[in-house]
Amino acid sequence: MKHMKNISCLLLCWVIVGVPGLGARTRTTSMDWLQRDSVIVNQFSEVPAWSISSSISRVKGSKLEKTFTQNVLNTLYGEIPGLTVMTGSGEPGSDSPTLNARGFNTLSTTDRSVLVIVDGFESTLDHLSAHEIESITLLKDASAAAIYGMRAANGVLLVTTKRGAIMPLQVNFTAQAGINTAFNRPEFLNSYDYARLYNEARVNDDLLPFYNNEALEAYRTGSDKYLYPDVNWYDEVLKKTSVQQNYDLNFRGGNETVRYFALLNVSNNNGFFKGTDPARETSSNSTLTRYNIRANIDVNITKRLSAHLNLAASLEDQKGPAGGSWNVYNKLANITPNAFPVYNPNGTYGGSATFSNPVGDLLETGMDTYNARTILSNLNIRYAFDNKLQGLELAVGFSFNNYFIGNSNKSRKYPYYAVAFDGTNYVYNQYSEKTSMSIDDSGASQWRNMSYVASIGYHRTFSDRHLVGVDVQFFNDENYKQANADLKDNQFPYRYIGLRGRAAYAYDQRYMAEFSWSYQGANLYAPGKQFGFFPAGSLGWIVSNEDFLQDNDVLTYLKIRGSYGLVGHASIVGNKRFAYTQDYKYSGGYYLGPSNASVSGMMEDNVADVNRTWEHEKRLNVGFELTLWDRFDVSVDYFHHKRTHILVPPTGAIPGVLGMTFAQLNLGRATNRGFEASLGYRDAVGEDFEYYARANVWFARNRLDYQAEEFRLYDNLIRTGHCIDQPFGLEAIGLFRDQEDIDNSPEQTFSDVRPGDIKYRDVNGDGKIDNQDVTAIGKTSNPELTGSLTLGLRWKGLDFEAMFYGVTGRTVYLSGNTYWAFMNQYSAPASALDRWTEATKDTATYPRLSSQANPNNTQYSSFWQKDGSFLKLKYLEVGYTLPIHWGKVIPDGGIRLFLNGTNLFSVHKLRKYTNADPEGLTGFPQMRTFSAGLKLTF
Amino acid sequence: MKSKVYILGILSLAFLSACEGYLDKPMETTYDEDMTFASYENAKSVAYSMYADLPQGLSQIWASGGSAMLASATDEAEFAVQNHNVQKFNLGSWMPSDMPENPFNNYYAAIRKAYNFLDNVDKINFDDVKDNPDQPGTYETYLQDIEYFKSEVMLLRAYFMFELIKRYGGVPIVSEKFDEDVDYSTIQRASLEDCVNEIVYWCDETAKVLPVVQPEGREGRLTAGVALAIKSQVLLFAASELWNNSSWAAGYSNPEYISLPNGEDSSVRSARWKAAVDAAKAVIDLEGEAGYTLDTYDNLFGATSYNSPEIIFGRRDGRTNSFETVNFPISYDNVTGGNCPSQNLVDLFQVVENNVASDFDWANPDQAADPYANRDPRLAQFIVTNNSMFKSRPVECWTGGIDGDGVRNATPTGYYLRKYVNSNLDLLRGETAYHTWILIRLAEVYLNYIEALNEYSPGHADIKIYYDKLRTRAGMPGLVGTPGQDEMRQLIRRERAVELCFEGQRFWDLRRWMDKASLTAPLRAVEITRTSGGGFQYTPYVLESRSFEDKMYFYPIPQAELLKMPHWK
Repeated sequence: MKHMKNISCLLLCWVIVGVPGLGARTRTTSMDWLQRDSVIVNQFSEVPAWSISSSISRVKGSKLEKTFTQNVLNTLYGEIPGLTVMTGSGEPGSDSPTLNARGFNTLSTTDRSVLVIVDGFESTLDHLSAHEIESITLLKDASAAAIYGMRAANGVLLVTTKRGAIMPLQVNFTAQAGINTAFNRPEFLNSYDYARLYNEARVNDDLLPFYNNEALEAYRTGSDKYLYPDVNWYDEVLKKTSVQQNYDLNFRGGNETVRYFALLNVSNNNGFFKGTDPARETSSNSTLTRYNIRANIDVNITKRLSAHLNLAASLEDQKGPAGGSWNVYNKLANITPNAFPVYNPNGTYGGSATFSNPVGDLLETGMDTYNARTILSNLNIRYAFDNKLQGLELAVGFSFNNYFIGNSNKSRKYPYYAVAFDGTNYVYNQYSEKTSMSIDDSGASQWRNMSYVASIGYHRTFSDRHLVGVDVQFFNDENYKQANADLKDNQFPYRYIGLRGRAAYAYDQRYMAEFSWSYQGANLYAPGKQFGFFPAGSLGWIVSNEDFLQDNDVLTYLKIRGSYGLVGHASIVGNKRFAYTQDYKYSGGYYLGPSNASVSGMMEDNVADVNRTWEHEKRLNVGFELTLWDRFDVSVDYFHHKRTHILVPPTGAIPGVLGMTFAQLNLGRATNRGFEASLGYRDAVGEDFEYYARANVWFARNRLDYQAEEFRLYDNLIRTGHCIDQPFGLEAIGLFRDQEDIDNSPEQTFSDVRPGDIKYRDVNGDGKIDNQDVTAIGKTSNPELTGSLTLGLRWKGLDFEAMFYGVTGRTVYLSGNTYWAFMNQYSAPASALDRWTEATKDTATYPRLSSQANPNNTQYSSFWQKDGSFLKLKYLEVGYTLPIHWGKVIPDGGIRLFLNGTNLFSVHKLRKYTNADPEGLTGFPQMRTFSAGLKLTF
Repeated sequence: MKSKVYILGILSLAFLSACEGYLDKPMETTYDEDMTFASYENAKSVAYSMYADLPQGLSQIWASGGSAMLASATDEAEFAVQNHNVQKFNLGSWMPSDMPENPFNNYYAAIRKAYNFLDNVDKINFDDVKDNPDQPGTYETYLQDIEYFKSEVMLLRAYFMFELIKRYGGVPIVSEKFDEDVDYSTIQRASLEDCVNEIVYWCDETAKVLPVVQPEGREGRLTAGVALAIKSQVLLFAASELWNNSSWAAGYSNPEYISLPNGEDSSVRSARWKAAVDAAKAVIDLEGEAGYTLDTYDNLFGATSYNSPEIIFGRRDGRTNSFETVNFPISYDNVTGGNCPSQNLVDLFQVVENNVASDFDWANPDQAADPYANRDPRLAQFIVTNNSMFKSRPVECWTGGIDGDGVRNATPTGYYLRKYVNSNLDLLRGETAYHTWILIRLAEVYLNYIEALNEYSPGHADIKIYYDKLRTRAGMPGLVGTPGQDEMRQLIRRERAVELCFEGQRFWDLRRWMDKASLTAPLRAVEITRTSGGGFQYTPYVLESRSFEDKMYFYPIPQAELLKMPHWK
């Protein structure tokens, strides 16, 4: 039984965020899986969860292991209420998603990133392994985030890595390997359909058909694979499956003096490119191999003095096709199926003046590679003054984090030939020629963060009911970023310096109050305007601990909390770092002299903005947590964030008579509102059967209240009052039925209109359709509502868990060659079969075909906007923990075997449009992965 | 607790001392104000950038498909691309919120440059040339040059102000480089009179400082002659009808923005004409010293026109071909279609037979049958007519011809533009040439002079002298007899229309004359049909009726600016 208990303990910890029920549970901590028994408020202090009156969301590292992916950011979908994760590419090494905390509330599209703090110091998260993470916490309200002051307003993620504990050495070994398949693949027309529709498009344009009947018949029957080829280029370039694997070995243990956690992790993932050089010398499939190592050591040097060292590194080795996989997928979407055969009769690569050969491009043109290394290191020294004053502690910390990436790209050219038949022989026309491989090693980038912190803390409980906690810290962060070469004055590190702290008081596990603050400055602003004060306060009340609810068996826990405070966002937009200095630029040259020689002109660049400051955000948050019947947990937060001083182009605010130009001024205002809700239920039937479910749902919608918007001729053009990033375009109202319909409609000015073209609404009512008719259409690509549902059960040694994840309130825009037929004389998507013709005018979902550019139909309009909602089975895992007697093989240990499926399927409305995936409209697709694994613990 | 306070104190002290300068920008990595103005060369560049703000009339009305000239907003021409921005002028659909051109903000940005230059120019560091035995005299030359520049920026400011008041009437007189936090409500529109006085004052002041001829290498910079010529333009405007007559805007609460005081008083008016006469004469008197002389048209509108002795004030430019890309006849070199001269303009070119000039008359069957024969030689020099040679082949403006009706964006009027067009360029090969947009040339000053003189002192002998100078250069007979004041006025106006066509003058001339007949005259074109014998038949017809209301004598202050300056009315 002892073994069984160990294993199940391990299992449960591993399965889900803080499953409650193990060990003695007090009434105040029954909200276990929402807020575990203690919360880290900064790297030097940890407080009981019940005493927190701020708003945070957390996920345990063990939950992240359920999603089998190499990039830990891709494990966060749906896991942290308030944190919306949006997929990027699926390519190994380029698959970081974007993270938005509670939506976003700023205008700059480049400056919305969440601040990531790993073990107390600024860092990045995407290079870590899920296996080294203890927990990830999103600081949501002002009370939790105020100590990060002017860097907090886009959200703060606190990552805590695993540490040792006072326990015997525990070794964990996990091996997991699986097969990836592409989550979706766009569908294009075959040669026969392509040629047939192309002829139709030509006729629509009053041109003669391009393919004669003989050619059409040859395409239909496939009788001549050289002169009338029908190539599915996706099949030629891509394979169906690839391999992903992860191996993790970690050690954990310690005693009163030394505690340690050490980890070695290696992972490898591969793309779908076919037939590349196995040695990866001349061509390469996309592949990323990453090695992670970590050593977290805590040493009690004396009774009062302790040192805490964290050392971690990540090495990445990435390879992929020359020009990037985006380039390959782009070519696949462009090339026509009948362009030329893959290989000519003489074995050379097919090709044409328009297209190079995608197979040849993949196999013969070299490869792009990079090597990246991340080093995260920090040391904290703590000294407790318990002998002088019980609860007083001094601490200092130092951190150096560094990232370096070096690119090495090999490239060369190769010949390809257009084939034709002169009546007796095949004749070839050569394009391009073979060159030797050249190497470009010049690309490199890096960042480094250096931070110091000195802290004084006082934490003590008086008379068992007065909990007092005070922290004051001095900090200095210096970040050097090379990445943005376009930014002027990026030679200098970014510096943030200041004081921060919190003062908390809680009484009798019933009433809590906290004041948190920071006073910090940044080297982005004019002297005298560099520092700001960011205060926040919160109150909480655990109603269920009041006498009148003490014996209530239904409402076993209820906490109400609220907070209000100020945070900031030190935004850098445009190409200028120090907006307060007056720069001059070369511009406005003139011509003088007897030969009209040019002389250079210089002028004031954008006028120095001496008042430039950070964006201010006032945050209100109210929420409650409750537990019913000790089993059913609910947590709800409502927030209202009002941001001011948002950087906007001040076109509508600065009179022209001043003669000044400003790139951006702190004039914008926006409001962001929403909620997060979590529901959890957990129960057991006897010893052998447990089951649980947890649902998260969150919502955020912003509104742009003021942005000094330029003068707009018509109300429908005004952006203010809509949400940030609101798409503006023409409102499509169907397809023109016939010439009469066109004659009776307002004139559309983009190009000549024919029946079957997209018809737009005359929004401004001026009798013609032009750019002045654009209006708010659809929603942004960032979802307003995100939800997830985790279901799990355990029966004896068997365990099962699945998570559904979905979003809604977003719009995607289908454009470019993957969705538009014959654009630039390129390919045609399968959705073109549903085109408008005289016969299908009642059912057509695609405009009439056109072989020439048809600007009328490619205007940004609601016709190409689609609902981007989807519901996805994010993962499903079934595990089996071997019965106890197997434990004899490994004393005090356990073995768990499991099967995992990640990104299994998704339900959405875009299949009929070229089989699109709303999460990845073009380029490298998401990966669906089936894997099996083994976890050994001893 | 005591130790805690103590430690906190130390922490705070350490913090504060650590922050001193720690967050400031460590050094300058681009040019800031002091670095820019420390150098004589850079300071000059700041002044040069004001020259780049001078109007470029070849592409004044911007549109993505090709820019139009202001001529296409008058009875001189029609733009070939039908929905071009410039058509808003002709259709009367322009309004405060939607203007075909709106240089209000650009000219104030340019004016700011003048004060930026003056505020900072004393920072120039001359240490390397001062008392430098290797460069004797350099320091003095530089100092002199800076003195010139101080006048040049103020004269440019005056010219930009003139561009503003022509359009908007009385506008704020800006005499400083504003700070970011200036109180906007203190910036008021000034009366038209104050604006005129300000401009004239600075013309006079700078004329005293600037050289009559800029030294070798600096040709193209402003001179005393430019100052006097701008003054001539301004005072001619100030004496003309529009600014002396506010009756058309009855009920407008601020007549001082659109008219000068007491314009109806004939003695006041006479004094204004006298001032205009004197101002033009002052430029003419400078002819010898400045080397101004009438030039050939080939040189005046050609690739080296920047050297033309007739140009008093030109806006120079680099090598371009965008003007040709718009204005070549449509069949040449992927041209997009541009400013096409109207029949209204063509009809103004006289017929000369036996050295006697007479007006062209469609009712005369001989003239109507062969309308381009025996015309004022300027017609062939300024305008491409049907079947005339362009790039060594005849242009086919006839219906069905490769340059005529039926071809997309072909001429709607039957004519193409030749003035300023460099027909030597091969656009397919991307050839380019210099273009200099004439702001003031000697011929205009003559015309200013005789127009004012005919009002102030009808029958003055100088009228015939300068009228004849222009006619002679054009190859036309001189003035015959002694016309009365009214007849002479018409002759001068017609001469001005012909001589200065497509030079951005007529748009303003018609306004200052309040010539409503011409402003509302329907735009006429000619239909050209090719006869079976290979000849052509010409039929003039009305192409477009033109809309003009009194309020269009001025541009409205842009709506976007009024929203920001609600106290401007």
